[in-house]
Amino acid sequence: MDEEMGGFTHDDLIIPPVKYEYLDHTADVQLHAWGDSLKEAFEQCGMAMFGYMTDLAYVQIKEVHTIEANADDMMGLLYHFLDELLYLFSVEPFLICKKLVITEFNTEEFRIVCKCYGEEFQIGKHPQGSEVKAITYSAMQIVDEPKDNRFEVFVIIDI
Amino acid sequence: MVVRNYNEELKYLEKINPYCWRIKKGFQPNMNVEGVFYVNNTLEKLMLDELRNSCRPGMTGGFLPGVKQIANVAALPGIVGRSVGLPDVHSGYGFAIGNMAAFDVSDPKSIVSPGGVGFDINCGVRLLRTNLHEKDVLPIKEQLAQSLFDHIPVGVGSKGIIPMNARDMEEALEMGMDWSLREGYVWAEDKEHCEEYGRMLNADPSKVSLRSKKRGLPQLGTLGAGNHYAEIQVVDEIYDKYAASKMGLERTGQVVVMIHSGSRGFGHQVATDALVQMEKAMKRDQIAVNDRQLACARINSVEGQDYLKAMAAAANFAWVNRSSMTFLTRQAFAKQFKMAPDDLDMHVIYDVSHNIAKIEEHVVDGKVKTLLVHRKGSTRAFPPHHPLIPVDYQLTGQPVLIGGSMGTCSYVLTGTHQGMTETFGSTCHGAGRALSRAKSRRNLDYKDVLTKLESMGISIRVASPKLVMEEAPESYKNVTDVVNTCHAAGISKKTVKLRPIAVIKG
Amino acid sequence: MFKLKLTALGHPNPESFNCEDEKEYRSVVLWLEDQKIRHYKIEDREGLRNIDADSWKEAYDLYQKDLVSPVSDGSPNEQLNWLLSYAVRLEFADNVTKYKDAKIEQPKQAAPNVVSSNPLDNLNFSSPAFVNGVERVCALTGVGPHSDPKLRLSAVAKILKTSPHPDYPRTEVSVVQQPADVLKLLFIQDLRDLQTKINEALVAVQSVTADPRTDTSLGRVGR
Repeated sequence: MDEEMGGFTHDDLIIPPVKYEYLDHTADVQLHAWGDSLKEAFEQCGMAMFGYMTDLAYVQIKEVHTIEANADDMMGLLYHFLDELLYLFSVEPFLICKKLVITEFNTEEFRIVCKCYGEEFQIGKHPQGSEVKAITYSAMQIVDEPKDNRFEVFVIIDI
Repeated sequence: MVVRNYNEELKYLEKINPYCWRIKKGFQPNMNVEGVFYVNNTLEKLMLDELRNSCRPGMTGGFLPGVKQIANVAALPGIVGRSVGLPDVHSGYGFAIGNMAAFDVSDPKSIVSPGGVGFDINCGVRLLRTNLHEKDVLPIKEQLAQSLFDHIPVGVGSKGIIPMNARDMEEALEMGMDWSLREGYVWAEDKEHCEEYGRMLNADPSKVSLRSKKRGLPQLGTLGAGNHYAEIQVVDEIYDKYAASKMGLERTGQVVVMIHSGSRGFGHQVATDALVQMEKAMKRDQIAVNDRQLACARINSVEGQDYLKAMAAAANFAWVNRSSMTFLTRQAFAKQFKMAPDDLDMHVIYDVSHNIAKIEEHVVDGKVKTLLVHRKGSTRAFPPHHPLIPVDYQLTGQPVLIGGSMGTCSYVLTGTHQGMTETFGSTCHGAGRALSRAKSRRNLDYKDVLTKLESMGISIRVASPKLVMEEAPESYKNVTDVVNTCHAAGISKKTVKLRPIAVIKG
Repeated sequence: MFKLKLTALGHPNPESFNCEDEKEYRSVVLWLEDQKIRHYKIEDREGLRNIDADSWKEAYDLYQKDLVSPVSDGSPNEQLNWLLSYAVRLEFADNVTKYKDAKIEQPKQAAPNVVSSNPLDNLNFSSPAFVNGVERVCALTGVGPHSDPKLRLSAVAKILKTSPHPDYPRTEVSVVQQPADVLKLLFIQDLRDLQTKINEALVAVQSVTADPRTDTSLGRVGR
């Protein structure tokens, strides 16, 4: 994982609009994210997960890390993408992300490379939200309909 | 999947007594055994409502209703007896939460399923007693709650304060509570009053991914978030004086501490890793299941054995975790009362696991069989004289610790012979969710919940404000209904009721 | 072989006696009759005295029959052993006053004499109460008759250990319940003692290994 401290461009610090919501589920929570492309829907879904762990308004962009996810199919790719993000938060650098930019979105070989902007999670500075135990495949949906310009993902996270 | 309307579905369900329903074969395809669930009138309504909702056209919810999940588990290869739903059952990942199922180890087709254990491996409850009375605590209740909050790391992103490196971690995974004992974090008597004596001997840290270990290391000795908590409680009512006195609970008003926590990110990752492995094993061994979430592997396959060994390591992690918090709790009390923990008689009454799979011997159709018993949101409740329960509880039956939801009562039950024959010695684990988290947040107000808790005389320290709504008692099934059902059905026996006076949460 | 008994009887060379040697065997038999047993009149010992004759064997068989030896059909060694024992008994009967105060020399005891505190070890297995009790338990468990009550009891134990048996309901007055309860209580007491010893051992080890520490700089608690 590379790490670039400081030296952010103006573009890096632009915060994307919120295109996600949290849907009802008995014991867990369902993330629903959308965008103008499937790539954007994936990015939004990742941010939705971080938004459930803390209030993103308190998070500053101080560092950037790069993650990589590989899988055998689209659902697997979404799963592993989120799992990598969760891992980034759970261990060193304990990164809570405000912004995600997918730099490689390969739907042929099912590979994602993503730049994660944020800072180390700090109790006291960042409000504590819910803890995400795991990503699940249950009721996972990926809507990819370029004709209607519909790009949506649904993921249930175990909390 | 079969599409039937609600009334057609009901034909497969039969109420066999006021507290027990039978799920007949055919309710879901390929059921090897029947299902059964325990409910009283109130819980029955919740259970059937869930089923009715799922029968509405156009329902594409994440999880199947609990009854359907119990029936799907009954269709798994190698299951014996019945697939059992406990009164606090609600739908979960694959298996319902509050579901127990046993598989015949001698049958080569029998399976082990991580979904039957849950993501939070060896999530459980520990109860510490004290010789303090409520009136000793009331004047300094706020300080005590704060002191506990100052000692125990809670909430998302918290890190443990017990120094540990990667080598310590390996040892802890292998040794479980014996590690805590060796390092001096707990007392010898603590181990005695712990399921499995706080250590699963088949744990093998080499079967655990580096990813799990990395996730686990900073979180060891942390309470976690969600429904996990540490509570200061007082004895509210004693139903069984003899059993209570065996536990050192002599009078109402006596102060105890309940710790509800699990294996943290470590266990979550072990479960996640296993699910990926098992998808492959299922394809190879052509294991057919009704629901993709019931990922499983044959007990005797490499994947099955690896999972059991990794799961055991996660179970050990959880025991070390609860032991570390026991240590911190004793320190917090010792500082507040300026007395040594042993002078405060802060003994562990018992420590139960309610998300675990264990090899046990049971009598099936008059024969002793070795079974792999999955308990997900279900607590072991062995009867008096069972060889696996501590000597102090040989005459009373195993203590079963049932944690309530925030601000409600908790209970101590004991295991019964009837439970041993009907449910493989298993009972409920807690309240069980009734409202979704999002619904709780919409319907409940943060301030209202806090005011209500305050009016009940409960001090609260919580890391995440939104958790207060999500975890409000209104979001859960009534734990008293759940416990009363278990008692009336005879699968465990009420011993003591506990009432919270201070809550520390994630 | 037979050194002890021969020595006790005062045989001239007990050390070198070889019972496999037909001739030596025969002379020992004769020696026993002549010196110790003296069952026949001297003149009637002729058959035994002819130790080289083929007819000796017949005389020996007759001799044993006359003595009512229970092992007259046994091997030569068994036969001789009985004769020796018989001779010892006669010797003792002749000199009761001389031998009755004789003490067996105690071998040096390495271990102190253990007096069992387990009441089961001190049971009188031949008492009628024990026999009757076993009879009753056998009737319940379906164990067939046998002259040795201890054998029957071990059969009962085997059944109880291997086949599942539901606990009898409290209300049902059962002959099994009471003794079972007593056994369970005794077992629990033993187990408690064991557990206490285990705990003491753990504490002893802890005094060497324990060093619990916390470091709040690692995490952050409270606020």
